[in-house]
Amino acid sequence: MPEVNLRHIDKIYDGGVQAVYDFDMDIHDGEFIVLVGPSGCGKSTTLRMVAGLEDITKGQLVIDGKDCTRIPPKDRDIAMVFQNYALYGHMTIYENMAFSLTLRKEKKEIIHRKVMAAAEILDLKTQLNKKPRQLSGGQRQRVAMGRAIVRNPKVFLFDEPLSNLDAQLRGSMRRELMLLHKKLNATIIYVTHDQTEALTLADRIVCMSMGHVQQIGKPIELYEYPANTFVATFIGLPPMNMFEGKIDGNKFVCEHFEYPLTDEQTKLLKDYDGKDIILGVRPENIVRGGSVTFDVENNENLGMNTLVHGKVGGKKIVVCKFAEWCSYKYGDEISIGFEPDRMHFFDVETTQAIR
Amino acid sequence: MLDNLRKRLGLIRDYTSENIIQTDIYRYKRNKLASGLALLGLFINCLYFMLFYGLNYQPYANVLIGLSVLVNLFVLLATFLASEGVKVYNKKYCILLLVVAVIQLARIFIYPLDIMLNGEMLFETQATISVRYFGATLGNVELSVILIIYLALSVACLVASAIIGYVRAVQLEKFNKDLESGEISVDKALAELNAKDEAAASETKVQEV
Repeated sequence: MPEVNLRHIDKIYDGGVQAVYDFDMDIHDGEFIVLVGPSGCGKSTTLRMVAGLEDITKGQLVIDGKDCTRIPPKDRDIAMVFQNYALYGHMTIYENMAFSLTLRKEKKEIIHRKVMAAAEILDLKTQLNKKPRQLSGGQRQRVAMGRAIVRNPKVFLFDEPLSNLDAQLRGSMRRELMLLHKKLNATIIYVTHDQTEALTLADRIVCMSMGHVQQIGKPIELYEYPANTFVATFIGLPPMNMFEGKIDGNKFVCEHFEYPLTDEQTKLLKDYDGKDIILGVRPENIVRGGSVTFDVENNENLGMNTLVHGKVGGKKIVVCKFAEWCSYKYGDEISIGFEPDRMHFFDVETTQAIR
Repeated sequence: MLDNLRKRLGLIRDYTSENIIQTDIYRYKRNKLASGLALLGLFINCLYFMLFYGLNYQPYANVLIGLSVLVNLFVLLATFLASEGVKVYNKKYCILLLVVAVIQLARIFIYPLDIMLNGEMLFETQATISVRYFGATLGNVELSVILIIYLALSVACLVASAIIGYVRAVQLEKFNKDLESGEISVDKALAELNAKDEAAASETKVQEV
């Protein structure tokens, strides 16, 4: 499997709207890359540029050492799997999977062997004579993947392939995708707005917003060390709690509370003394028994943990995630604190993390 | 000798990996060749009656023409049905195709041959057999030759369709039986072919080095 290099790619549509700004990254051989971000962030546009379905306004796309910037899609040797499967309803599953090879005028025997091998991998052998309408959503998506596999492309592109499936099926398909990636050792670029998919599937995640790449890194890096407030709030469920305030010596002071900083944190933030700053704390890094008063509004027991929603200082909405079963009621007042080594600080002006 | 013929037709085959894969394809793909030939036979029959009914010769305009129309309708319907049947490897429809082929063959000896052999009579009755066909006026001989060619081609297509349909249906039937009994295995055949390919690929590499 080859490398894919996206070099300073811009996409500007005819009306002058810029969808992607300076997308620059190297995707390594056999890597599973997930582009994640909210709707309209440019992730699908980037994928479509790699596929050749959108022109690249500026920059260079190199696949396996070959400049593919202006090469038509059919000559790029890539396969794309769409959200809506894009299967031919009048053809059987076998014919759907064999279609691209038939167009290439491959020998019948070769086509058959490739289709059977893909069907074996995807557990579709018993479905080959059926029509797409006779299959479930998950099976249809597997057929769409099978159609991609038989071509043995250099790169697989997935455009939100699991979005049409229910939650349970999505979970099982995620596992299948992981296994498929291991079996094929393929280079995959995968677009999703679902952070669970991104965190579980990716070797590296590219987090995007408003056409800009916000952070590229391993899932754990994005979760533990978000580069800015966007990544901090986008990755993680429930999102990170953010408090705008000031540094006052060895304290963080905001409208709703004051919080002591450790020596290490004071040292890190010495340039920000007296300046505005954003403190971020993930719900699971909030502990009971601190100096902040928290008014409970509602309690969501999820079995293995509890989400407690409430307010700090009567205004600021905060979500806490406690690792055990809790039974707080509306109006309960509890004291909370933050795990010191899990507190994140961001510059107010640049929104970048302070490290 | 019969066995030899059956072998030549492909009704008896040794199971090599290649043969297994070739026959396994029938399980997933329709018999488009047989079906296509049957439809081609049907289309040629259409050409036949379009030409024949364009004939301006009054003595043929009697009750037998009605029968000819009915035969045509039967041929069209039966051929279409049979084409759908052979498409899904149903060997019964091959018999229907052969029946239609016999009818088409017999039709050569009715009007076309009559037109060819009795064309002389026309001068006695002051009538001439002629038909405008693609800008040319055809006389009795040319007309009958074209009609005979159409019918003969139709017969050839129908017979070929029947034979191909029958051979493939029998092959598939036997294949399915053997597959069920475990005598053959598609997975094994696929694995063998893959191993062969790998061996060939490594040989090529060695040669290159």
